[in-house]
Order: sequence, then C-alpha cells, then structure tokens
Amino acid sequence: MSDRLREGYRPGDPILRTVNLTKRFPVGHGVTAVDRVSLEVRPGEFILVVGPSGSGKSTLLALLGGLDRPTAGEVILEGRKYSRLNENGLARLRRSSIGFVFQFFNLLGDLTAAENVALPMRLAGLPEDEVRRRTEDLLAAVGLIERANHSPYELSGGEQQRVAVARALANQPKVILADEPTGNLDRRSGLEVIKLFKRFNAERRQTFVVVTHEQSFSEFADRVVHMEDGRIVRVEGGAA
Amino acid sequence: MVILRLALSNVLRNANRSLLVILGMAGAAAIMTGSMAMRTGYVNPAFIDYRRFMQADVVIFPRKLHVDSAAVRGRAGEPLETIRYEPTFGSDLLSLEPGLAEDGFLAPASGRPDIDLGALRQVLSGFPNIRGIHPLFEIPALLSVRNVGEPAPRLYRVPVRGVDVRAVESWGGGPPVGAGRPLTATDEGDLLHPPARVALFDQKSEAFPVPAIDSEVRLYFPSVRERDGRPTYDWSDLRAYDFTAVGTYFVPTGMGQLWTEDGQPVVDQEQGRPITVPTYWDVPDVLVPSRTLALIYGELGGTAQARADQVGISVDSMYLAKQTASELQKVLPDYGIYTVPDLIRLTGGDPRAVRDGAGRIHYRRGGDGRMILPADLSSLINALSLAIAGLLAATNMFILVAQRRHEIGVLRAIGASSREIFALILVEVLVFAVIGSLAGFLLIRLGVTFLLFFSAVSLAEAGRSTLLAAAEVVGLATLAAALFGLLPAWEAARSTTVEVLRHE
Repeated sequence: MSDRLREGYRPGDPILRTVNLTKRFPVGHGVTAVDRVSLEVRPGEFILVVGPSGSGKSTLLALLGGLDRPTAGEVILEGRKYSRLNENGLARLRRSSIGFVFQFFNLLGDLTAAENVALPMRLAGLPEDEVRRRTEDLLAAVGLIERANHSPYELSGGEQQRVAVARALANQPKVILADEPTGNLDRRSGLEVIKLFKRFNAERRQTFVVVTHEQSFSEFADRVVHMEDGRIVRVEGGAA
Repeated sequence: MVILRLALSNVLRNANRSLLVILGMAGAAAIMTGSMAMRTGYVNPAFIDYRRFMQADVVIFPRKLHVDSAAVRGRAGEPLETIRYEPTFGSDLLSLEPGLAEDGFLAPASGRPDIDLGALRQVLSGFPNIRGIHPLFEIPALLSVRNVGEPAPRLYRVPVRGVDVRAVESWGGGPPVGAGRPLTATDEGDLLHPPARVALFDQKSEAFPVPAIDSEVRLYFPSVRERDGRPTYDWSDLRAYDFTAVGTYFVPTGMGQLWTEDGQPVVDQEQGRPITVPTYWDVPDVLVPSRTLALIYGELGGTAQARADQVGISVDSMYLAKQTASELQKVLPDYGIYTVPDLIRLTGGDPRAVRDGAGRIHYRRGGDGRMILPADLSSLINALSLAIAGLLAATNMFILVAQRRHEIGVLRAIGASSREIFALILVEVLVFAVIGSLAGFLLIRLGVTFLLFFSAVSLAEAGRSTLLAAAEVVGLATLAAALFGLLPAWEAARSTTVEVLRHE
C-alpha cells in the first residue's frame, strides 16, 4: 500500500473509521440500509454491533470490509481510504489487513480444514513451510489440530466456525470482522467462538468488530454499538 | 498453484458437468482428428485405393515429376517422343494402322527404365523403417483393339504394369475390380505354357476402349536394347503377345462435381444445385502379373529384375512414410520421392467428371493437381467442431459461474483478486479442453487402428499417435476453449464480493 494512500495515519489513531457512511439500495423507492454512520474503532478494541433484523448491521460490516461500496461517505483503514482503491486494491487490503468470519462459515467444501486455513496465506504468496507452520499453530489455537485433514462436511457447526476463525486469522490481520458468527450455532458453541475471539483480542491485540443479535455477549465487548434503521442509536462503553 | 489446485478440485467435484464438457471437447477433437487424418492420411478411401494400386507407401521415381497435365498427353512427368515408322517398314502394324507412318505416335523417350535396383537396394538398406521394397515394372506397349464397326484393329499406346499378385493380400487387395475378376497367384506363369497370359484393364480410362471380358487382346512390346550401358526401347522391333482380358479395375477418388465440356458446372435444374458424381483416377494402365511381365521383359532383351521404372516402399505408418520420404530425398536428391498422398496431389489431384454432348461421363485430371475439396471440407469441419465444443464449454462455464457465485464471493472476501478468479475459471476450461481433446484424439486413433487392423488396409497414419498430430488437435481445442472461456471467466472476475453475504 503506498504511503500516499496512508497519509495522515499515526500510531494510536483509530485503526478503522467511517465518515457519514451511507448505503442505499435501489429497491422500490429506495432503501437506506446504512444512514450517515460515523464510527471510530481503536486498535485492539472489541466492538459488538447489535440491533434488530434489517437495522443495517451486516451492510455496515460489508462496507467496513470493502465487500461492498458505499453510496456516500468514506471508510478508512489505517489511513487508507477505500474510495481510492479499485477492486483489486480492496482485495489486497482484505488479504493483508482484514479477516472475515461469516454466519454460515463459508468454508470451501473441496478443501480440508487445514487447506481452508492455509488458503489466504497461499493467496498471499507466503512460503509453503511458513504456511504449514502457521496453519498448525492456528488449528492448535482453535483446538482442531486433530481434525486438520477433515473435510468441512465432517465437522460440526461449532468446529466449522472455529476453522473459519482460524482462516480469518491466517494472515495476521489487524481487524477481524464477524457477521453473526454465532447465529448458526447452539449457545454453547457460540459462547466458545466468542471466547475464542476474546482470547485472540487479548493475546494478539487484534481488533474485532462483531455483528450479533446476542446481547448477552456484551460482557466481552469494550463497546456495544446499537443500530436501528441504518443508524447508530446508542453506544455503550465508550464514544462512537 | 493454489488456483490450479482449486480448479482441478472443482473439475473433480462437478463430475457430471465436467464429464459433459469433456465429452463435448472429446467429440470435437475426435471429429477434428478424423478430418485431419482424412486430409493427410490413408483414412481417405481414395488414398487407400491408390496405395493398393501403387503397392507402395512411398514411390521412388528416377526423376522428379513435373506435372503439366494440360500439355502432357501421356503419363504425368513422363518425357515422350513421337515415333514414326518409315512406309517401307515391314511390319503388320502398318497394315493395321497406316497412320503410324504419317502421324507417328507418342512413346516414352529413350533412357527407360533407369533405376538400378542393385544400387538402390544398397542405399535403402540403411533405412530401418523400410519394411519392403517393391520394384514397379512398367513396359510401354501398343494395344490392338478391334472396335465394333471398324474393319481392322486400332492401336493404342498403353503402359503395361506388373502387379505383384502374391503381395496383393498384404495390401488389403488390389484396386477394386469393376467387371470380371482380379489377378491371382495362379495367373502367373511362363510364357510358353498355359495358363494363358491375363490382364486387367483400366475401366475408366479414355486412352483406349476397354476390351470385353474373356476376349483375346494383342499387345505389341518394343524390344529392349542396351545403349550407353542403359536399356532403351526400340520401337522398330516390336513383339506381339496375346493376353486374355480377365477383368477391369478402377481407382475411385470420391465424389466430384460434374462439369460440361466447356468447363461449366452441371446444375440439377430441379434442385438448383451442382451435380456431384463419383470420380476416378484416370490411370490408363494394363495390369499383368509382375512375374509374367518380368519374363516378357527378359524376352524383349532386358535384364529382368536388374532395373525398374519405379520402386515402391512399404513402411508401417503414414507418419513414417512422410519421414522416410523426406530422409530418402536427402540421400537421393536427383530422384523423385513421394508418399502416396503427395503423389495423388501432385499427379492426379482434382479429377473431374465431365459430361459430353451425348450425355456420357468422362473422367479427366484437373489442372492444378491439388485435393481441393477434402482440404476445404476438413477446415470447415474443424472450425465447426471447435466452435460447437467451445460454445458447449462456455455455456457450462456460465452455469458453473452462476452456481458458484457464493464460492467466488468467499474467495474474494479472503483476498483473491479478480485476476485470480479469472484465472481460476479459465484454468478449469483449459483442464476440460486438454483432457477432452486428448481423450477424443486417442479415441479416434485407437478406433481407426482397430478398424484398420481388421480390414488389413494399413497401419496408416490414423493408426499411429503422432506427437505432432496430437499437439495440433489439443492445441487447437485448447485455444478454442480458452477463447470461448474468456467471457465466463470475465463474468466471474467482475462479480461483486458482497454476494457472499447476500446469499445467506
């Protein structure tokens, strides 16, 4: 990433920032899924985004991850404005700086657990011995080293999500974005995943933004952002 | 590497669709392989028949052929001279054909036959691929035929060719017989005792009227004299030999357009389309058993088996024929060395069927000596088969891309660039193309080998997997698939990443 795109970013500044972020979908008379959201996420912070269905949480997460383009406003990651990046620039950014965890795991069924974890590293062109070492470390960290060569279809939902977490962490991103990561899991497995997030957050100082329905996970968060109708209506635990 | 691996696993995962696309590519490659073989190899029935007629895969001529069929009325490339008899020449020929004294007749120039078999065999012994050497004997003669309604027989100049009847079976038979019967081993005999000397006549030739089956015909051969150490024909000293016409033969060339005598295509008035009819090589030869001809040659004064007009060579495949002809030409630069397909293109290609004013059809050589129709048809078939296979591959890839939008979204979410997605889809198409085209190529090759094995025609080009032919088929199929795969690959590459969330 060129310095020109990162100008103005200093250590200690918010790692992820949105400015009047807006997303409208041209459905009927137009639906505003995210409405002028401005949010600052500090390095190492653990943020929960909660709200009812249709409040714009997942759309906000897609915009934060550069998976979708905003109608207006800006997303800035470590001083890099998404609006200045083309699709391949955003892909490189996701590869190096952002990890995703999805509700339905989104593991590739043709690959084993280990291969799924290794995939982002291979795409990033890491040396194969480094890929193998990191894959083993990550699978051990999520408690699945014994299941490394299993297909996703041979794993339970909780196990699949732990593999997805390991994959999200593979390239040691600074920011992990999770979209309803416990939404498809039973309560116990969901709790394990959130604890896993918190452990990595504490041990590796990685920043987590987690979209969830589950307000009981608030105890793990530094801040809880409440959304309704595409807007942030309340922030608990700190300033938005 | 990771993209290649993903592509391969996708190919395996979608086994049914992969099989369908591969079958499509295989079909196209099979059609292409067959069409290419028909253009260049013995799979073309005309090549097979001509090969049987020549009894050779490669033919060595004492000199390079120069074909100007419009100007040369004799055999292609043959130097001819006009022979005239003095009116005082005491031959019964002049009483049969008084015109010989005034107009003379065209006969081969001196210096034939002029391949020294002993010397040539020594050169050929250095070529391990050569399976057999077959001297092709031909003696020019005058055929005496009594035409209906004419008081006296007329004379026609004909080349009399020796057929190795014992080797005919190994060539899958001789040329097709139109009437009567083919020559057999029992037809070989000495010149003094029965069985009678027999001959086959070119049924389609316009050079002489075809005698009735089982009729007696007389052939006058020139005697052979040594001149400067070489045998030459002495047309002033002719010897008569009587033969029985046991049959007629023809060498088909396939289908050709029918022309009028003034060069206009004959059109079917009802359908408004040009009329096509079977065509034949015009080879005005009289075929006799080669041993009989060798004996006659000896009686004429020549040293039998020491010299030949042409030498045929048999090899195992058309590929080897091309290779051998090319290598032989390097060591025998003054000789004309041709494979059967090359010979056809050079000397007799594009034979025309011409309808005269009386509605009769004559077969004539065309002017340019090229196999126009098969080459054009082959290119058209190749292009069509490639286009169909490419469209099939593209359609399947479009469906595949649509079904895998979610997976592509996941890949993009974890950092795959659009270029990598593009490569992923394109690699899959190429995998289909390479596997499919190789399968099609091998299928048709094995199939043709199987057929040829049972028909005992030849282990010709089509029966052998040549690297060059495989590379051509696979290369063209892959290129077509790549071109047709560009669009679905581009479609996949430009799909938006947010699909990964929307599909949930």
